Amino acid sequence: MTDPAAVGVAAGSRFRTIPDWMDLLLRFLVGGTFVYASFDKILDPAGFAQSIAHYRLAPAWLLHPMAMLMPWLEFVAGGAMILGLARRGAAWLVILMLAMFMAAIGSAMARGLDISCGCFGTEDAHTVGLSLLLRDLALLAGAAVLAAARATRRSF
Amino acid sequence: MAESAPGIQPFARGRPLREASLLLALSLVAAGLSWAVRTPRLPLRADLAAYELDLGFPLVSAAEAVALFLDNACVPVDVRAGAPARRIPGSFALGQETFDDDLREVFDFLSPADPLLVYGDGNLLVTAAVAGRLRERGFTDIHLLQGSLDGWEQAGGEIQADAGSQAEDGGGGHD
Repeated sequence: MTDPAAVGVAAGSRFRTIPDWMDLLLRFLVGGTFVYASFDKILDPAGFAQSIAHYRLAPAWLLHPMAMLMPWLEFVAGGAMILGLARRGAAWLVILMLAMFMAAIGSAMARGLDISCGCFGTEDAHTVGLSLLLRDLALLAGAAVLAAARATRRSF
Repeated sequence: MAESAPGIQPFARGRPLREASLLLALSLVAAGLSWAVRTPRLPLRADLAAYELDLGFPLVSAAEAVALFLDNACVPVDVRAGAPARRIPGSFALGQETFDDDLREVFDFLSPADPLLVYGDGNLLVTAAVAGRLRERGFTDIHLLQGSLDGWEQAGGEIQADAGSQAEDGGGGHD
């Protein structure tokens, strides 16, 4: 029998364990959302750049690199999450992206910008608002659970 | 009782950072390759002014649009898909995906000389796309509403709820 102290498992580590079905569900929900969200933006980075420009946050030198990198980061992190590869790293990347998205949405709301989210590409007509923040918060919570939970499968 | 199943690993400090770095590097490579093969390539440095001007149609704020509407100086055109429950009174529905069919239905009620106020959910790309197609059909006086119906309503604009038909009550923009 493994001595918890010997392997450094802290007291209360039971809270880091989630059932396999929950792990699978969260990975597919959060990772799948990010993969799905990336498709249209990968195919149309110019359109995504327009969506980013609407927020009036990104400086000129960052706008296009962000429009090109973000969709691929969403795809890679989401895909890794679904496949259970580099799961904690993927979860942390998703958390960082969601935190950034929520900050941008909150900033747009605070400045009274009535713009579409652009979360799922140029066809996304969802206006920035509380519902989007709540949606992202739910995704962030799921990613946080995945980042903190003990891996039940080998990570790459 | 501690579990002894295989796969138990103490939290490996730095491992998530290494994993995230690897994923970020993969993303950078993919983005770089995608940029390199795409034609035309997106310039590395954006011209922010171009994003304000590339719509090709004048933008009006919600307050300006409400003033036009109250003066009967515009005909509202709704580009949202489906059957939105709320719209500007007298709106004509011309969706981006159903443009040809929609225009065929309303063409008897619209004149190319009519001043149009095109609005949607705030996505100016969609609004401008429909406006472009209207221009191709001969409509020349087109303005785009900046923002969505929420902004219109906050500016004092009238909202028609559960509008299932077009141009009810004679509309606000017709003379």
